[in-house]
Amino acid sequence: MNVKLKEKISESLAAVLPITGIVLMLSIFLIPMELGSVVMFLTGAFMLIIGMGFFQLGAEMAMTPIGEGVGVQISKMQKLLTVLLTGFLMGVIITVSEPDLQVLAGQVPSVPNAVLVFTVAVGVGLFLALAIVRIRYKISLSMLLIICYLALILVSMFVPKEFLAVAFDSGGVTTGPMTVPFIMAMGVGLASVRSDKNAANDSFGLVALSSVGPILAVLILGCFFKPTEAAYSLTDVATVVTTQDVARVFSQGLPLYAKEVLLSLVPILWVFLIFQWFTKRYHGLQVKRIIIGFGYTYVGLVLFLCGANIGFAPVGAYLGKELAGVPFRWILVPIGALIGYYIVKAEPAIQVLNHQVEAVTNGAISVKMMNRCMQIGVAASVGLAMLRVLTGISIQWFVIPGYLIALVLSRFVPDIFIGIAFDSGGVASGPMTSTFLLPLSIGVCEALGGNLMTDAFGVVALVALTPLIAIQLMGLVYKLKTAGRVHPVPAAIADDCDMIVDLEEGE
Amino acid sequence: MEQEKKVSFQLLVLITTPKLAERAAEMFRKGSLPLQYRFNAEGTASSEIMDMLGLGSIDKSVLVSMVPKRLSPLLMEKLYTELQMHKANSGIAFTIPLNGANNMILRILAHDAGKDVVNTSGKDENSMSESKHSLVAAIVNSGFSDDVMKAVRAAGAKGGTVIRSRRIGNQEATGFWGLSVQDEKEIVLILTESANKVALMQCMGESCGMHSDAQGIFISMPIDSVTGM
Repeated sequence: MNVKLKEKISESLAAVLPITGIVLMLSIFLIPMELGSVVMFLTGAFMLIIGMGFFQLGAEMAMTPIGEGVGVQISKMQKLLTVLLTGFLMGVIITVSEPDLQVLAGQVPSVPNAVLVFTVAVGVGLFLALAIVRIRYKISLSMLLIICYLALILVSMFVPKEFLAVAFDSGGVTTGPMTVPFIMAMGVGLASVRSDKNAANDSFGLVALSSVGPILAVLILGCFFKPTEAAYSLTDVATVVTTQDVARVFSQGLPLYAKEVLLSLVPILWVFLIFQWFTKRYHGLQVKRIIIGFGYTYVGLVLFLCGANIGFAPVGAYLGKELAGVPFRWILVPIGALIGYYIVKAEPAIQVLNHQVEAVTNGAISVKMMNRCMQIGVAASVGLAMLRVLTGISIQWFVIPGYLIALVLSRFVPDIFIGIAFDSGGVASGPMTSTFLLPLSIGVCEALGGNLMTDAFGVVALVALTPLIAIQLMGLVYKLKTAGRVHPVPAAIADDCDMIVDLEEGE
Repeated sequence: MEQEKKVSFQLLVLITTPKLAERAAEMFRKGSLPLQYRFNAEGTASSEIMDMLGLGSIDKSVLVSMVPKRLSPLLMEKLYTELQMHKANSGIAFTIPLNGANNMILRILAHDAGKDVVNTSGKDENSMSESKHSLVAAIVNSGFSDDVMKAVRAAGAKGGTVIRSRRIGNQEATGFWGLSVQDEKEIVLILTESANKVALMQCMGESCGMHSDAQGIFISMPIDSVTGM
């Protein structure tokens, strides 16, 4: 079999099968589920596997080369203004098209949708431009992040408590599967034409700053509109009895996602066409490959979102509701952690990030290490989210200390880990989080009669937070390990070591 | 001046999948051959259709290590069996002669470097077979490796390896960064039988030479020995 195809298939199997297995186990041993729902879930999982494979391939063929190209071209620009403008426009265009943003807008009824979408897009645009300029003027990423997050914490004091969780969620939500591969590749492109020693470090950090934008934008909107409630309609498990029902439910949903993904893909296609028109960067085979890549991305995302929303979301909500009813409620925390541990691998953008990291660091930080770190991080966050739902502790008590720890750590870890860590936060909280983890915690919350706004939301924010700490801790370990390695003392190197020996003489 | 005892040595280049490269690196490290460097590359597609479908290029790792010449045949043999290089797509290894180095390298390699990898030191240099292969390298503008491969397929080359690279020119172009911005280049490495070398390079030159957009330059170098072809 084709090597590449085999690699992609095994990658998406490895991503989706574990979480499928966990849910099946739960349904057998703890929460009995109707066979109809199980069939729905398995169909969803199947679509996820196929969708994931296509998406990965598409991201590699289309999103990454275009993003890199844009980055390289920005590097070659001479004027600060053009750079700022390009960065800003890129941020706005790709954010407006992110499907998750529309969902977020729907969840905050007190703010007009157009206003919210526009504000968030401008937020991302400004911060993306800032992220690019930062590299130019060598402003330390950790310094800038500290300023940004302190500003966030400050603004959050003026926002109604009920609104906080949704606001912090928005940061993770807006950097979805479409934006992440693109922005990350842009970072790599920006750095790739430089030869100074900071080039690799600066490949990362764009997504990090870009996800501050939406949080700040939504918080500021919150100050003005004083919203007190969010609307969220929980999808019920559709009553399916026959296999025909399953087919009907999925075929009803499919056109919806087909349209949604198309809307979000078109702006990036425009970016590509305009970019190609101006720069003529790609030729012949490459253009064909990129177009086919767009096709793959489209098919992949439609299948993925459809499978996740129709197959996974109702099961998540159902599991939550039923889990809340078990006699020992505390079991929710370890079960949540277990689900978190396996679900993060099924986030489509995660593998893109991991491969990017491995490529830029030339294998020093491997895909395996990244996966392990993300898994531990997200396991912790889902465990904490469950704890929060059970106890009703305010999100502030987790988010503020969490970010403080992350920011303090950023002063001690090697630069490259800061960029990767803060990027990964936005990446970890993708469609799987919003279609499975969010319904799960909403389900638990509803069954326990808690406050949906303050208790159930916030799970996305936590998923976006813990990888920051996990990956920076890995960075710290890495630093300590390399520091422990003994470098040869100059005195121990013999004087004649640099003498050049010509092996050809005397031949 | 007193010099270290002269050891003739070679550059052993292994191009393989990242997984197998890891294993080989471990093997070298255990055998106290510390001078090894690794970087990423891409294998080229076997056909245009596969390439267009995105199923063509696969990730490769290049492992470059300096080894004493007397050990290299045994090392190559060991690599061949350890990495199961008889399988398709598993990788190739070849050695390039070196003719100068600084004393540090000689000192490291002079002692017992590599003796743990090959514990039988009975065989002598004569067992090394003369290789009739050459390594052809085409350095073209970024994005043109496809075209190089298209050209050489006609001359019978089956596959190559692409390394992304940058050109350091004599005129410094400064971009927005205020630092030098370098042209992106791609280096295509193709291992070929020496008899076919010139034909191959001519094919490259015709379609990807300086007169084309690829602005390619082409070189070839001798290979001492090769395994896994």
